[in-house]
Amino acid sequence: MLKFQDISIKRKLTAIIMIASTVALLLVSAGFVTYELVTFRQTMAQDISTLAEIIGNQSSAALSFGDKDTAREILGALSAKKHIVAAALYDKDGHLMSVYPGNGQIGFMPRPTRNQAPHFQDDALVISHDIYTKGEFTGTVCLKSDLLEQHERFVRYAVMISTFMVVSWFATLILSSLLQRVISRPIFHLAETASSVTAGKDYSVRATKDGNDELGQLVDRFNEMIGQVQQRDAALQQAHDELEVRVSQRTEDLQKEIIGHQRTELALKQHFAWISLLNQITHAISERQDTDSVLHVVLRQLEDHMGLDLGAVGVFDARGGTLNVSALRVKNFLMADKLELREGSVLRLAETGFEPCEKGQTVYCRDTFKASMAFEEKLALAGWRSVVAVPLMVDEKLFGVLIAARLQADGFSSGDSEFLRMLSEQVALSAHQARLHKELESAYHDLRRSQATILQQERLKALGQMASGIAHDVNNALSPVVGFSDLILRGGFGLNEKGEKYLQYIRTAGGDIAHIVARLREFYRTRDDEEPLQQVSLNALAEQVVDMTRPRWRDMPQSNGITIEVQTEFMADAPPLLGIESEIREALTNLVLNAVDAMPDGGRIGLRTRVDHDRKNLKHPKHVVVAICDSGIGMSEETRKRCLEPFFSTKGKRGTGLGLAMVYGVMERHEGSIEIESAPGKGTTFFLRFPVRKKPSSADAEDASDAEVKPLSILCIDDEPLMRELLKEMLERDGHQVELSDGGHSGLDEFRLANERQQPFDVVITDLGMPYLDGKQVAKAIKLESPGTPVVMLTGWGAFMKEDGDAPAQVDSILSKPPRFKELREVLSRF
Amino acid sequence: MEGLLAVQSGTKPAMPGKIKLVFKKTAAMAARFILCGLILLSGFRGPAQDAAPTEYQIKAAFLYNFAKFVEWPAEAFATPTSPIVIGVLGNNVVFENDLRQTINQKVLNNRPLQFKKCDSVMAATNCHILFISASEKAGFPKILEGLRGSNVLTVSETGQFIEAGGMINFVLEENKIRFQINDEAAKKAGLKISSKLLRLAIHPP
Repeated sequence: MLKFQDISIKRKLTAIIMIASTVALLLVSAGFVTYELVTFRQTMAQDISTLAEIIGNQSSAALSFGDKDTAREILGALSAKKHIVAAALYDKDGHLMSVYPGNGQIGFMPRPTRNQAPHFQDDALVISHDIYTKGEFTGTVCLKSDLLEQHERFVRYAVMISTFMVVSWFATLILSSLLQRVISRPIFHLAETASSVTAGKDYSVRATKDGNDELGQLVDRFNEMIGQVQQRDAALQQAHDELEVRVSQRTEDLQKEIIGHQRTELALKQHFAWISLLNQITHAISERQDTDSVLHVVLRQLEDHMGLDLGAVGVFDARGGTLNVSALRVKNFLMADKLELREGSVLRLAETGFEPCEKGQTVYCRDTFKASMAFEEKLALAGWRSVVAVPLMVDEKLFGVLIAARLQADGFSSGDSEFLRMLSEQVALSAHQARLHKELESAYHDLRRSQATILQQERLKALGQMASGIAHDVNNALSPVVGFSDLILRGGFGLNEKGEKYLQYIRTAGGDIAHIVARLREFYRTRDDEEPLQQVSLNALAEQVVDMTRPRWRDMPQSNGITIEVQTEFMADAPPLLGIESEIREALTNLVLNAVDAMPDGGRIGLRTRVDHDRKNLKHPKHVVVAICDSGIGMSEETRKRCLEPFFSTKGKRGTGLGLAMVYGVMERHEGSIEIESAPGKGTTFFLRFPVRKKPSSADAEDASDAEVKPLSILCIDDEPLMRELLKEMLERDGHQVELSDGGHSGLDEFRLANERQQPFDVVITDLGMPYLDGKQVAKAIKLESPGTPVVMLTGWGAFMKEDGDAPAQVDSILSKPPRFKELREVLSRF
Repeated sequence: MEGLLAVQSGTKPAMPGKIKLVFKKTAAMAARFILCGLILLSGFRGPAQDAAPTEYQIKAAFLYNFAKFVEWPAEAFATPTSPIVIGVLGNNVVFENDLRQTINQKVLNNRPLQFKKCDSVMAATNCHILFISASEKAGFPKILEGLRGSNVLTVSETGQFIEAGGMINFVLEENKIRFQINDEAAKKAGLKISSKLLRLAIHPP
């Protein structure tokens, strides 16, 4: 749709005039019509009022006398008035007297309000007029007039106005289209001129002007503007020419700048290459954990990427002021030979001229020919003309020096040395860390080893405690059996030979039980101080074991078609060691039998002895070692770790799991150690390492059984009646005077009573585990009252109390159950 | 009202004072309305209006209406507010009562209407309208003669009244009461009968 703004100015002007005049005409017409209508209505109302009055007056008598005929007659006269459509007469009481038209509908039912002024209702004019005769109300007349007259007038006006409008519209159209030219022509002229200027770019064209009105002024301004544009065009052209000159100048400058940038870029690229190399090296280093490999990686990377002819790292030793060359990389090894430089060689820092490195400075020797230092001279002779030494600093201390050399003089740019410097920090850090890592690792391994040892000891201890608990009970129960058997066997009971033989069996069996119990705790028990140590030759023992076990490793397998070979290799001058022969023998036997078990398809067993000497004093033997190796199935790591644990066995029902535990116990008691080397399928080797000790110069104790015993007065306290009886029998047999007491309290009472009687006991023997007051408390009380009286404690725990250092201070001697004659005698003989 | 209030208070002694007051007002208003209604009803319902009007009642009303459409000369009245006197000659008690009732309290152009019982012609000369009963039929000429020179509108209900020189005579036509007018006689007596009234009159046969 065409917008009003886009219509030609010619049309616009015409349209404006047309619209304005049409609106004016419409307004005038509307005003006129409105006025006419209002006036007409007033006239109508007046007319109808007059008519009503006349009718009322005429009909007053007819109403008074109720004469409907006359009333009808009077109303009938209204037929002359064609606009009156209805009329009615009412008497004073409101009764309808007459209506008009007589035949038609009644226009007024019910009677309208009395005396209403003319008013318009429903396309009609209605009046209701009261009639008075001599001042008395006589009735009402009502009239209704249609508005057809009014409508006729309307139509007449409409036709008239329309005609008038059309005519005046045409007149306006003609006039306006003529008059608008006065304004539109100059504007068109101006527009044409402007477009010719724009199209032809000819700024010399001017518009002509018609008059001095606003349009004339517009033409003047337009012409002025074109003039200015003309001037500016010229100036612009000039500026353009100047600009071109300037642009060409600037282009030249730019080209120069570009060359500069290219140089910078090259330098940057070089830099970037260094950084990426640095990154690469750092990355490579980070995967290494030991110093040497770190240094080697660095040197290889340097040779590959920087083209070094020689690269070396010397680790600084501050004490000697030396550099220990720990990594070296040379392109030409002949040259290196000439320099006499290899890994491991030591350079004195003072001779190299690298002392500034100690303060963290880089040393660069441009030309080795001109240097005065020994090392540089050597380099020069070997063929390296330039050398850089970069310090590797850790915590501001010299860790080492990185030495880089090239064949040509002045072979390092400042960038090269800068890069080496950056690299050195990284290398120093990594090398240092690698060293720390190594230290940490070894510390960690030590820790692991000791932890494992402790763990094993703890386990064994726990087990030993359990075993000793069992042993205590068994020993307590066994005491009467062995004790009374002993008593009877001493004679005097008149047993016949057969009875004595049977009793002997019982005694032996009891002894065996005690022995079994003792074995149960064998692996735990440390060496008994009282146990006699003997001079033992390990070679002889090993030989014995080989002989003893022959049935197991040769005869039995042979019957199954399996061959096991035993090789021995003994060091001839192995020193004898101090120990318990039977235990060591048992341990060796155990190991040999294990070896046999480990070789179900046959193989070789090796027994070797050797001597480990002290490192400082090579003449003094420190350890004697016996190694038992087999070519059997071997052990997994897990098995190897746990094989010494009691009850750990891989043999299923055949194994008790106590063999190796016993071996361990033996070695512990001999202050030796066990080492095991094994891997699945590769056999197992046990190393038993015994310390070499001198035999203590103690005279053998005399046989206690033969000792003279003087009669003593002894108080025995024990809550078990059988035990009391046994003790009494045993002691009285030796001529002692024995008093018995069945508990801690009664024992103390007895003791005090004896003191009061001035017949104190010479010795008190008490049980340890008693209800209410135990042995320790009893011993304490007795020592408090009579410090000189010896107290002997008798207990199933005896052996362990001694070992644990658990023996109460108040106790003079401890005896384990079951008590033996021999032991009892020996103890009593001391007092 | 006091009694009612007392009963109310008696049944609901705890009733708040405000409600009591409202109740009192409402009761008073209702009583007043009922009273007014009774008065209005009695006013509208006149005993005479119930039945259809009797012949004499209509005739009495006609007499009154004639007064509206007849102009008397000025000398017929002493003052502008002097009453219009309507007299009855002859013996007709029923009509007299009806007429008296009809014109009672009526006023036309500031003139009250007055009833007069005339015993003789002489007494009737100062009436403005005179109804001559049918009983005086025989004496018509004599009566009319006696009234000559006075401004009296004579009205009767007998056959030869007009011929005898009477002015208005009631006749029964088609069961309706109509009247004849002798305008000549009226003019002679100085009375001006409105053309509107004349229009209603029936002409003598």
